[in-house]
Amino acid sequence: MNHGQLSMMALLAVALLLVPVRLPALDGSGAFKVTEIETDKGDESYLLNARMNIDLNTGPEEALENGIPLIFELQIQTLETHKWFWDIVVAEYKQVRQVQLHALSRTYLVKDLATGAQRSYLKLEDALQAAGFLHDFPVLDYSQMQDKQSYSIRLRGNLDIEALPTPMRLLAYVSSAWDMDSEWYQWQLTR
Amino acid sequence: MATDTVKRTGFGVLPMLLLFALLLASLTLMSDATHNSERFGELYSLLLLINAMGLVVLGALVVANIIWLISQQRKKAVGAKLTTRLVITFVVLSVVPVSIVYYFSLQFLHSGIDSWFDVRIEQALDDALDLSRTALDVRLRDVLRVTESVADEIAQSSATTLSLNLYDLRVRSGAAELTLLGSDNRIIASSSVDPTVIVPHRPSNDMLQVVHDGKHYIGLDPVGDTGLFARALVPVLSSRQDSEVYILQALFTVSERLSVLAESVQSAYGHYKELAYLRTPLKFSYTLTLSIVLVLSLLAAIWAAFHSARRLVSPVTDMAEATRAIAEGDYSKRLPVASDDELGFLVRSFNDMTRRLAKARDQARKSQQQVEGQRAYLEAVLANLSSGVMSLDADWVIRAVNSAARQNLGVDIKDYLGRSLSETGRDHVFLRPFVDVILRNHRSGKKLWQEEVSLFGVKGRQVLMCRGTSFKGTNSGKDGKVIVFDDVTALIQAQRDAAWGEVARRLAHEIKNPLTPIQLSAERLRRRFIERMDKEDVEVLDRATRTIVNQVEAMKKMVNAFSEYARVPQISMEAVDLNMLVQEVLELYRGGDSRVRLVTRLDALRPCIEGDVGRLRQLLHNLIKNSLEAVAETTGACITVTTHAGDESAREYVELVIDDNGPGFPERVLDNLFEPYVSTKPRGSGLGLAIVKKIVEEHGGVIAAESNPEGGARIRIRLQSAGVVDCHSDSYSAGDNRILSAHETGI
Repeated sequence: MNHGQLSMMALLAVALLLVPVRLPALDGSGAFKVTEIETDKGDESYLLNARMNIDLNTGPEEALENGIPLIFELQIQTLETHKWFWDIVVAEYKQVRQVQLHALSRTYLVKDLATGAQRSYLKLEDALQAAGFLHDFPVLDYSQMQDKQSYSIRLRGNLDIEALPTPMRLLAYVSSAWDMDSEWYQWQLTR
Repeated sequence: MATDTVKRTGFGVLPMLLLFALLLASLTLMSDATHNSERFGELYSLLLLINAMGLVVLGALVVANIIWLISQQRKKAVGAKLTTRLVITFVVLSVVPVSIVYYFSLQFLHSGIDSWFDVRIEQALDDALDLSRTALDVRLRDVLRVTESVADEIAQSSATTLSLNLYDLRVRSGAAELTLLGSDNRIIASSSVDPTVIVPHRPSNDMLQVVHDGKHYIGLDPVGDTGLFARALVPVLSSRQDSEVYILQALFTVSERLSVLAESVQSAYGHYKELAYLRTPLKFSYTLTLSIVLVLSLLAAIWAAFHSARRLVSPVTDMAEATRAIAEGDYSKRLPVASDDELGFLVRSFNDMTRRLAKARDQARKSQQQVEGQRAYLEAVLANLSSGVMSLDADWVIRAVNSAARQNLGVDIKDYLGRSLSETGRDHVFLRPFVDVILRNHRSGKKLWQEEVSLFGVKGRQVLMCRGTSFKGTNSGKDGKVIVFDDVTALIQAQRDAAWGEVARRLAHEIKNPLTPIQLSAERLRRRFIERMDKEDVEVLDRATRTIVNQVEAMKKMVNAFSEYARVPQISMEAVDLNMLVQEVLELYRGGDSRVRLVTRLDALRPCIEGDVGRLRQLLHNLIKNSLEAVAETTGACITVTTHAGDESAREYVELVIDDNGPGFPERVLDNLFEPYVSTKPRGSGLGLAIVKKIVEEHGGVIAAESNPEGGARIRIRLQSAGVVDCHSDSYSAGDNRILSAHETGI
């Protein structure tokens, strides 16, 4: 085997080694827990009311106490469910909430980055609860619905590591304390 | 050629340079991103991944190179050791300075980051925050007092006028927003300075909980982007019948100046706090970036070391392989000229040399073919020559002979190729005269010589006509010799026979023919005149005519004798028992002169020869007569006849020796004793020994005459043996043991 072939084989081996890095999804540690969930019929669409408890580990809490803003993402998907076929995503939404300590007022600010609405909380638990709270969130327009078609809704939350300051990202990626991605929580929509 | 180069380098230079440039660019961006820059901050993770992958690719290439080098080492491939040495040198040269720079860079980096943080600054920021809070506390107390008074007023107002009063109260109190909340946290009434605010800023549950606990809440609240607000929550203790406990929330603006300053302090404090918290991750990030730079530099340097080493060693390796090929005789090898530097010059010179070598080889091959052709031609010519050809070098070593040489000499002279000429003389005694003639003539310094030499070889007596010359040696520079020899035995014999035949014919024609008329004339003269003459004249005439007749008779006899000598007889060869023949001939002489002792010493093996009995008998008669005549005056005369079968160089012969104790041969006649008309006797015809020699030669034998040291003559005849058994008749049986049967009689 000559040198060229050896080099090409080495590159191939590296390529094969790198492929699995991108494949598996990180298993959620269960930092987001759905405590309440209900869907109500609104005027034009189904409305989602959900409450997710966010448990912060020491690392993220310490970062928050030191002024680092944490950004939580709540992902909501509406699916057409099929018995013999895979489910189809009908609608997808993302709610991004930022929690930050305001040192001067000694309050925690929770800001909806989509609307810019902000509220302050005296306690961290209340702030986190507010960050994981969805109130009358429209998830499926009646116009999108088909008769006899069953639908389900699923919800999950995660901490946006990419929104952290640059020096922290690598540590956040490799540390389990920062791994807050949750599994999908899915339920059937009852008409 | 291009593919060869790519193969040799393993991974092309351009892709490698591109990869290196990409990684360098990525590292630059990553370094920028580490500073938390807006531009590349979002790409940090991606850049980190790209760099890691690049490093893994580079690392894999380096590992592949190392494996390749190890395999080359194990295979003991040409150039592997040199490549290893160069790689190690390059790697050491690059690793040491880069590592030193890395170490000191880390030191500077860590100390630089540490220098950003100072306890005094931290304390000052804490103090500034406290100061801001203290400054705001005054305002907050005012706000709380005002809110409490507004709450008192609301408590006393009626429910119907509550909304209108709230507006007045807000305007009077200077609040930005007044909101009255019911016990179930619903909004009863609200008034805001900002008409666009439809929904009032609701307090959080934990704030309400403070009021529910019977306390007043006062605090700063950064509301949206509008700056700091002072938020106060107080219960409204109504005296009305419904007795519902309302909560009044009042939002007051903080003075702009104070708000800006407080926000500035808050921002600086937050930033410093964040930076302090990020101290360790920041160090880690910078160290990581620097380490990636280090590893990238090292891997690139190692790869470059491999690349350079291979590039440098490649022509040397090619040349070593080509040299090996040339050593094995393959001159077709040409090396690719990859560069214009000294190595390229060396490669070009090598190619020129190979080309010339190939050309020289082709010419040499052509010349060799020509030489071989000529040699083959010469060998063919020599092989078909009837003359024997032998070449000798300056040291008398036989270098070449042709097949005729073997036939002429009767010895497989090819066995002596590469050996000295003298060895043939030592191994084959009969060849000594031949060897002596060659040595003598060449040593005499003659350029060209010619000489006859007689041998008693396989075929009996042989006369070789030898010619020799010297030639310039090709290898040693010394003179070589070439000897050409012909077997002229038959030729000489034929010439001699022809000459003597011619002499005899002329004698008969010119001399014998006139003799009869002379004789007849003399007799007629005598007869005619003898009666008419007187007595005195008669006597004269009688004496004269008698003399004429006698002399004519003598001349006739002489001519006849010579004719006999010159005659080429029809020889009928048969096996002859020499002992028996000797005894038979000697028997005729026994009982004659008793003064002569006749001794026979005959070989008990009774040797046989191939010969003509009549001619051999004549030979014996001539020799015995000669001996008898020689010992006629000798007292105690003795003639000894000896037969002896012997062999020399595996060549069997029979020797017949006749000794007498007469006066022996005078020195002056010894050299041409066997020539006609050479005689030691006053009345000899001079043909006796000549005839003997002729008979010996007719039988392929040799004859030699010598004087015995103790006196007397010796004739030695050597004839070719024909065995010892077949020719014997029962009547000539001898003893079983081989002894000389000596018989002695007087004649």
